[in-house]
Amino acid sequence: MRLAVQHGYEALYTVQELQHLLSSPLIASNQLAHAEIVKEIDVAIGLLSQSIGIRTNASSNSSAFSENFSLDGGHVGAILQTTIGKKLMSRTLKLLTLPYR
Amino acid sequence: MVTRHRIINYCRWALVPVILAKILLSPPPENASTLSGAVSLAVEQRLLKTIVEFLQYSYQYQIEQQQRVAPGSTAPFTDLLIDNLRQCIKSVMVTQMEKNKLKQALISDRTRAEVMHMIVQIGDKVHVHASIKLCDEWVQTREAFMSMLE
Repeated sequence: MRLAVQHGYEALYTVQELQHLLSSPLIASNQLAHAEIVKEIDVAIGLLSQSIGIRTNASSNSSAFSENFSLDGGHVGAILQTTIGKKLMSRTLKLLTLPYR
Repeated sequence: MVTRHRIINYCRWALVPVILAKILLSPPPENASTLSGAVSLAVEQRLLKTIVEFLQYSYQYQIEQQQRVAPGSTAPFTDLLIDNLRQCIKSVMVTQMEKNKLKQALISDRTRAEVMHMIVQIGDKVHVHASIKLCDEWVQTREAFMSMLE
């Protein structure tokens, strides 16, 4: 569990750093670099979601997103047992809430 | 990009009911006078405040979406929101086997009570615009929850 939280933090910091990079004028003016960073953010968010208990069903071809993802409640519960895990959840939820709709 | 948005959309509302259920299952962190106790309490309150911000944000979005549809119609996000709010209450009720423990878990901490109060409050405002089935389900779940607190 400690490893999952650690991986979660690594992914969280990666997303934050990449988002910061994305907002710089230099990157905004370079389409190639912009696309590359967006791709990296996708990967980091995928890793972050995995570390907090989101499981992706790769074999499903359904168009409904709820059928492609599931949440491991036990994993979330275990993360929330520690203070550092609660902090990770709080930061993750915040990260997933404000910049996106 | 599409995958990221789908993960984010799923994550936010999948996590909130589980987090609430898990947090309300245990008493608030004690020994706030000690450093570890105070940190633990502060982190829990920060997490709950993040959920409150998310609820407020979703409610504002629902208002915007509802204003865009014809009077009497239901915006898709209205149904989505009321269903998710119901899931929040339901998950808390399912994990709390004893009435007294739920009551204790809520009244022992102001932030905890505020989160649940906000869910009920937003649900009450939103359900009138939701489709009939979801509206009825909300009313039933809300009543069951309130009866657990009596």
